[in-house]
Amino acid sequence: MKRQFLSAFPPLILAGCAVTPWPHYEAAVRCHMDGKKQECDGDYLKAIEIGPRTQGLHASYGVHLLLEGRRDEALKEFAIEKANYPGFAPKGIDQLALGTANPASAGSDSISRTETSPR
Amino acid sequence: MNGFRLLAIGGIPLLFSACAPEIHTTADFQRLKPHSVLVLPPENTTANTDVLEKSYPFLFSELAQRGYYAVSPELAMQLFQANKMEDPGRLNKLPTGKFNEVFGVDAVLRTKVTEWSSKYIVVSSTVNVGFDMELLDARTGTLLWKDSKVLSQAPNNGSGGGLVGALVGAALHAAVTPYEPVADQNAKNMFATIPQGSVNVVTP
Repeated sequence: MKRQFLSAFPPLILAGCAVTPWPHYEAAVRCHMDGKKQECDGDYLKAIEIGPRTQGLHASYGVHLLLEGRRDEALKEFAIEKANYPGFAPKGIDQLALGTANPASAGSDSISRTETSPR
Repeated sequence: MNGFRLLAIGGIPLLFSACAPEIHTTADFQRLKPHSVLVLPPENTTANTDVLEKSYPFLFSELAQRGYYAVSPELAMQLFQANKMEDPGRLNKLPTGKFNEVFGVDAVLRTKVTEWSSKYIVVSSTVNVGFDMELLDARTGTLLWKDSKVLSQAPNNGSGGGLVGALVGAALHAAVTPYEPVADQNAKNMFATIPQGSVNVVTP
């Protein structure tokens, strides 16, 4: 009994050490915000490899690719995000994908939009 | 044997329940049950200049890992920049409905960084990071959760080598202070007072 009880713990302990995509995802975001551009690909791809369905990850990578001028790849990433999280993927993705994020309202206290109806 | 079994069955959940953080949400949180959140860029009220870049990634990441669909900083910043709305102070003052329209999110997280400093007193140093946060319903602006905490931690000052070692360690630490782990832990502690969300964090 005692042995059974003790043998139940290692999986519990190991579960706490499970590999997650979040350290790489966070590093990629940090890298992107630091403006390091091409250096960030490694962390995005590693995060996708570990957790291909991690929420927001494909949208993040898509934005990164778009700013790198890799539009076709970016659109693919946006499509994956929308397929993985149809009810959640932010509307802003469409604005970026369509190139309509640019504002008519620059300087005013409003944000441009392509859609007006609330979710 | 029976006593051991009883301890195993009854004792462990009891131990874990003692660690469970208190939930700080308002009654409206249960009614509105947000699933997706736009984490606004944190507003820096300290003298440090690089707080935004350092704190935004983990604020987003910690909330997402709590089970909420959080809009990534890259996407949010890109849309804000396109709209010439990069100043977190201005963004914090916008009606939340705007964010619901543009991002389609259920809630908006506003953060103020109130403390980002290290104190160096002779042979020891402490890192202090403070946040004021509020989660608002994106459609109505109703307050869903609010918390304010300063976390102070005394990192390992490397006191090997006696008094001189301690002095050098503290001085070095004051010069190159690792704020991120303290800030990350503070955010994690604060988000632990929001109920666990239902959005899959990772489904490899």
